[in-house]
Amino acid sequence: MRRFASAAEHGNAAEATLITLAATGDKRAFEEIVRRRQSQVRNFMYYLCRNATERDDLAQQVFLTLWRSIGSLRSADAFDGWLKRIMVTTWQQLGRRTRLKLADESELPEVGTSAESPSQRLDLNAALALIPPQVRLCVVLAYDGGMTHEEIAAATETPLGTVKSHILRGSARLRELLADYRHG
Amino acid sequence: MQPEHDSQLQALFAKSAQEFRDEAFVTAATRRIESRERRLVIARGTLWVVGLAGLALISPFLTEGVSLLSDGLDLAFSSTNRVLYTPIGAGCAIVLSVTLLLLNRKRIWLK
Repeated sequence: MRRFASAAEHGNAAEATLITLAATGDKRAFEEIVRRRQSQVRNFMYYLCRNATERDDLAQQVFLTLWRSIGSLRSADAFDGWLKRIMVTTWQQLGRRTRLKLADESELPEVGTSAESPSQRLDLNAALALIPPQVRLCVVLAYDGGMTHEEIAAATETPLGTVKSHILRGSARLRELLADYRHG
Repeated sequence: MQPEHDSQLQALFAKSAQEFRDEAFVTAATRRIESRERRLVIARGTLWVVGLAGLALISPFLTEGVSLLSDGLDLAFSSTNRVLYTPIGAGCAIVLSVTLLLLNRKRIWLK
């Protein structure tokens, strides 16, 4: 595989090419992957921990793990599922190890900088904080990560029935809470 | 997509997602990777040095141990040889070998 000489070449490259290059130790290619995937990883972590500092710390940890193991990735097509798996494992490991303080209803949610109204972001994040962490993880993986129940069961090492029940209960609770916000 | 997937929730998640484009995060992530790699290189180097120093420290004991072992083996072999050269010793060895062969014949010849 031909190496790119400039950052602009990396910027224009297809992700599959970048993944292949990064797997051979090309740091610039990996940097471009971080640039492109940061939104996905940081949003995912924010839905789970609702703390910007923790979010970025966890997201960096994800990319660190990714860099350490990208050489063992067999195909660029498997990258997306593999990244999601690392995201889940990172969240679970760090949560267990540091007893990360999971956001609860007593905390004030942070307001984002995206195009939608701050109240809408506050609604979703605040509502997510009110559901149990394991249920939240499954719901976020389903709706933010776009994963199927089977994929979530594999990534979280949770029985399929439990995943289905978590998502069903979590979604119902979210709808209920979001309705409360809108009417309240 | 799962059959019970709530499209309204899906849309809300899509709307709530932020678009991050800051270089500060990319720089911080790559710096963290680099510092981790530096630490690994230092740790590997330290381990080599400690290993070599340890080997140098215990080498006199290793030499002594090897010569002790060699003496012990020499003694054991010469005693066995002495016993085997007597008629009783040789007879016992033959009987023992035949018994072992018979006991293990299944494993040796019949598979």
